[in-house]
Amino acid sequence: MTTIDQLREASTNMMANLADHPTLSLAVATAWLNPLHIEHEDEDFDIGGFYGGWDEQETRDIVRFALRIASACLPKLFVELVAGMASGWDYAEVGSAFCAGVKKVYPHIPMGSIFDVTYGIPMEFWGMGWYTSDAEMPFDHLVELVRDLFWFNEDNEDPDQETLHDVAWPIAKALIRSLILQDRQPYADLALLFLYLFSATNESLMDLTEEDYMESGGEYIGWTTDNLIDMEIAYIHKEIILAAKDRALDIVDHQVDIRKALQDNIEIIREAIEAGEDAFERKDIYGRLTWPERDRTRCTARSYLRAAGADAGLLFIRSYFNKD
Amino acid sequence: MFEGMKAQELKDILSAVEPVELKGVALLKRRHPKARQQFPVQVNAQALAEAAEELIDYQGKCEQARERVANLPPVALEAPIEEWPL
Repeated sequence: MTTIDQLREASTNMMANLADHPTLSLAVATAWLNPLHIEHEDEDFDIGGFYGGWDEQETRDIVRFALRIASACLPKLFVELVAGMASGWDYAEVGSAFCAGVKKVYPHIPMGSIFDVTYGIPMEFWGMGWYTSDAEMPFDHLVELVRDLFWFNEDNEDPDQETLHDVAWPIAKALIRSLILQDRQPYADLALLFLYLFSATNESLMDLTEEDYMESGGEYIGWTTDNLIDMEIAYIHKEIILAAKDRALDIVDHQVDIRKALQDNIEIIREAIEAGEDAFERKDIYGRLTWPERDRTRCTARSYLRAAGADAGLLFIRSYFNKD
Repeated sequence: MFEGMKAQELKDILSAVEPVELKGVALLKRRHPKARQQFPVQVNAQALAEAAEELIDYQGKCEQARERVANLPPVALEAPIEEWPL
């Protein structure tokens, strides 16, 4: 028997004997089925190398981080990943399984790739950026809509964004309040459209650009179960608001009576502001604003989380903006 | 009525506890004695997942037990130690 053969036989015998020892077999099983447990005790432990290795240190670090996230927040996914790695998954398979596992529990959080984990829970910002950046596509047409509805200075037909916002917002506040008070569609969708246009939804992802968020001191959202739940809801809010925005834009474009009502009501509010009336504190302003009649459709869902389409928009407005 | 036990009694009780049967350990024992790989190969994916889940759960319980033992209230010493105040 050669020396190599002797070494191999010794290794084989050692593993066989380890399996028979009560304490050592538990240690070996732990090393096999929960390598993260070992890593907690040894920061230098190479989790990638343990299973046959990946070449890039960065890859191993990311996979290690993803395993910690799964261990803390998604225990079933953690088990799946460990079992997969034990059966010989490569990096790409681990990454795909991790992303799929997160989306299975939190389907609204955008998980592009495993590299997304490194900067906290992924955040997509949809803010108009009135004060931090010139609106770019897809926002140009929205700025144009605001100018068409709210700008009346014929001497300056192309105001800058900040000026446009500062003039339009006081009018929009009263308009939004009146729309919310209608408590029916399509006025809930119109309210959400204007709340979004003026970055007033109270949702960071919708009101801010990434630049706004970082400059205001915002930080990356850490991977905890509570944060995952909060971000899932935030993304549901985003989908509701953007869907309402699209429906409302279609209404403004095609329902002539509603567009005329918008223009008339904006004019009433503007005149009240110019006359010095404290339009937002006195409720009689809302009595002067009128909207075309629309049938009240019955919402069967109790929560916007279980509703779809226009119902979700109406229930969302009721939950967050019309609690009176 | 329990009136306490001595250290040796406790040691004897703990020593008599049978090792817990874990699926992961059972899978290890099924590894071919002449296999060159350190860990079993060609294990059913479902069995692997169940074994990993059971082991992780067991580790969690051990950690909880360890913390409970570490946080046990102190036992007042009745034996007089005259030198203690020195």
